[in-house]
Amino acid sequence: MHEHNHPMNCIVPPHMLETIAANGTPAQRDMAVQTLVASAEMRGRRLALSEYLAAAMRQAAPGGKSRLIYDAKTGVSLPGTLVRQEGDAPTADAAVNEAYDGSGATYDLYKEVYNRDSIDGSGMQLKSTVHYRKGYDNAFWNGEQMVYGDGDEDLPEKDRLFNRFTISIDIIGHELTHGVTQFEAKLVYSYQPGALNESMSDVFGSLVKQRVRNQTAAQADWIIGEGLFTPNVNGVGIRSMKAPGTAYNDPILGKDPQPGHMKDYVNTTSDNGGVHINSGIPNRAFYVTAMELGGYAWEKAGQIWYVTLRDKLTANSQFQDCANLTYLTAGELFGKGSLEQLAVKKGWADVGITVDDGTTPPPPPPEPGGGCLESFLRLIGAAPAKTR
Amino acid sequence: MEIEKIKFERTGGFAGIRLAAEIELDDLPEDERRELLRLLDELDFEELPEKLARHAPVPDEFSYTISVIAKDKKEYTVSAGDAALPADMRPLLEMLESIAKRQMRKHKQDD
Repeated sequence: MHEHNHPMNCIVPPHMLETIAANGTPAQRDMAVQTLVASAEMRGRRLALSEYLAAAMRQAAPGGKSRLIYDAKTGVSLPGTLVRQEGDAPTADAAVNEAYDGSGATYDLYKEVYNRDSIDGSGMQLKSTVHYRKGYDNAFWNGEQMVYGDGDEDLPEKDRLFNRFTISIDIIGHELTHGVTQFEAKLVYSYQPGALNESMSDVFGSLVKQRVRNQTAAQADWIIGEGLFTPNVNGVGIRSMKAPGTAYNDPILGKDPQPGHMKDYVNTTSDNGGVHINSGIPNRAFYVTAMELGGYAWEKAGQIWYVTLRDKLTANSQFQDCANLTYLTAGELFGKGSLEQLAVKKGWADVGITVDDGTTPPPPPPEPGGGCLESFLRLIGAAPAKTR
Repeated sequence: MEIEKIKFERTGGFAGIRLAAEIELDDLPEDERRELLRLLDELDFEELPEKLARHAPVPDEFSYTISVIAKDKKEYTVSAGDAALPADMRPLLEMLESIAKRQMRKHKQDD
């Protein structure tokens, strides 16, 4: 790594560098720390060098499930005050316990079904902060941890639209899966790669819920964010994987804008190019595939999607690539012409995408990857070249 | 600068539900109007760059766009992502967010 031992000049998100500084191999940490220091100097930010050095010295957890739940106490500082950690008894705070249980169930799905040890595959601690800001109608993954708001708890009950964001376990699985995607396919968060990124989070978020409830594909509701709306909203949840566009239709919030077919694909620059809108298309492709296969969706359909996310998709993958690659993966896992492979083909056909079934080879991945960030990660060995 | 109105838009977020409002300054309660003007003044809003805190998009974060329209029709627009938002922008955003939420709910009652 010596010849590469200099900071990068391109823009790599500091949060990602900090993650590398905290969790990478020694060589990766050195690189990340140097880049952080250099960019901090460049921007004239008053950042304490010691902070980054401390991050670099911190070792990743030795593997296994390790959850840390923090309370932001309606402030903006992350992660906040540690209120519950692995093995601690439940607290009196529902949001804390939901974050703990939900991240545990997500860890278990990845470990027990896909043999993946946490977000990064090597036991990264699962950090969640609850009670972030006041009246905060959102949850997000900031590159290092999950963050949850309390919804409209600051408003009178009759005006509330959103409950707390930990209330629905698939939201927790959704946020954690953004972390998995960040370490694997690194799908760029805009337009089709961004909608695939979103869809992967909905797929595995829903699978976490289905597994906790012990539901087959036919028994599951395939709703994302069930229970997040208060009774003041006319809606069953935020998105429907089964019937995109039907989750809510409300005088205040409007109508669920998701398409479930390519003919209804929404061209927009808003929402990073419609990442939360067009994700309805790959979401439904997964649903149809899972229904074709029957039984528990996490077993076969989930396995195909997981291996595709881990080994096949790249930063700029489009819907067509995802269709081809899930089909390819199904063939590798279950055999060419298998029922599983045909189910994948049917899933995509249902949303208007015809898989390329091997008569012509799939397009090569963009070289050397999705631009600057991808190059950086490859350089430090955090993004090994994909094998096909 | 004499301000006529403020356009506020929030997109993205886990739910992907847009929140937007056009806020006519003269329609606001006096104390709220004064506070809003004070916050804009404190930030030197018209001197701010059009894009604040340029960074790769953070999954599920909110994106904000604020346009201040002066009485002479000059328009000053600033957009920013939630996760890397400068701390001094927060009071303004929180105020606009709460006015937008109020307007959205009021429109429903008026229907």
